[in-house]
Amino acid sequence: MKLIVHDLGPEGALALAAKTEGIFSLFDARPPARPCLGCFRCWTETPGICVIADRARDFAPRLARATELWVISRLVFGGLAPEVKAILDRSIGYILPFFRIEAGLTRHVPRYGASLSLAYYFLAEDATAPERELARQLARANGRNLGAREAKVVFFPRWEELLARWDEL
Amino acid sequence: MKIALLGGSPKPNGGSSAIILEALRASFAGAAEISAASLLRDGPQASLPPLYGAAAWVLAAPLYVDSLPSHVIRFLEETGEFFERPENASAPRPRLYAIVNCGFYEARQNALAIAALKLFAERSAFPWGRALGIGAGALWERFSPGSWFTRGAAGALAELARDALALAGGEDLFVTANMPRLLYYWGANRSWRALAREKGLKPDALRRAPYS
Ligand SMILES: Cc1cc2nc3c(=O)[nH]c(=O)nc-3n(C[C@H](O)[C@H](O)[C@H](O)COP(=O)(O)O)c2cc1C
Repeated sequence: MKLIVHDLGPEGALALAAKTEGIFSLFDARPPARPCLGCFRCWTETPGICVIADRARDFAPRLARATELWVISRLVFGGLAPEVKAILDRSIGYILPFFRIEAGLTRHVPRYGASLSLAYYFLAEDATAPERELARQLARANGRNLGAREAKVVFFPRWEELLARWDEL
Repeated sequence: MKIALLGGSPKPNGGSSAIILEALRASFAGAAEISAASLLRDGPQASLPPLYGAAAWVLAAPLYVDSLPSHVIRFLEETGEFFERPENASAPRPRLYAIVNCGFYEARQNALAIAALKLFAERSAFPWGRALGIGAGALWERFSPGSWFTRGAAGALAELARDALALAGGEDLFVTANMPRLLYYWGANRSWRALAREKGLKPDALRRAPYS
């Protein structure tokens, strides 16, 4: 399954749904979900399941079955917007708490077998070069830590341009 | 001089970040007027009385998914918007100091979150102070302050505290535990199993895949 998490407003979300119908499962990061509380109960008490009962909890089952995750987010300080970030923070049950060292680097052990391919589409009209560079580094780090095969990064000024170039992505 | 301590951990007790800020508070004692806020509990507005008007902000936060926790990003965005308002445009900005701690052993894992804080400072015209990235941060919660294992990071924290009092800056600091990496991971893996047992789960249950 291909999964998209995005923070487009209502209009963008409708346009995205029209483009992706039947191909992607969409997850709207707005209205904002409650932030992760750092309790780790998704690792130690209800393994794989966040204990906060709100909409963000529906993301984990979809992520578990996804082969591709596309993240569409406003670029904020070289990273994800808070709404999208909250969904990812709430999803660490996707991996296991256990650490292992692989090729000299620390990783978490995956909970689910299939490995993910990741793509980040950042939206910003005035992104600076250092902000773009940090976003690329973040995607690489997320890819490594989520056990992804690859982590693609593309920038667009607005969602309209992203959707206009959809067939090239 | 006024210094504001900003707690960026969402844990109810403030986690390792709160312990790190307490250590800082002790080293500021008598030299600065300290105020504190928890970014999750006290709400994200930069207009929080304890924050507004301080000469320095010292933010301590955990690393979440290779970057800042969502509520900290939200706080920074709202802070930027607050200072952009015409009535605040010429308000003095505090100098920003930051301590980011992570679960991985390598202190450098925190570099991306620190870079994001610098980009925030640049966009919002906050003068930059200094940052410290702490690896194996969970040890701060586990061992008492002054423990051998966190001694290196405590030294770096003291350096950052001196800089903050002088409103001075410096290179990023990255310090991990006084403990070999394998030992830290062995202890961490063991404590996940111990926590599970406390909740009545068999260690194998931690590997459940409820959605496969
Ligand atoms: C949602 C979530 C995401 C995390 N992501 C990372 C990570 O990407 N890298 C890392 O080293 N530690 C990560 N951690 C571990 C925390 O950074 C670590 O437990 C830290 O010591 C918590 O600090 P605190 O007690 O101040 O909240 C994560 C923890 C949580 C709850």
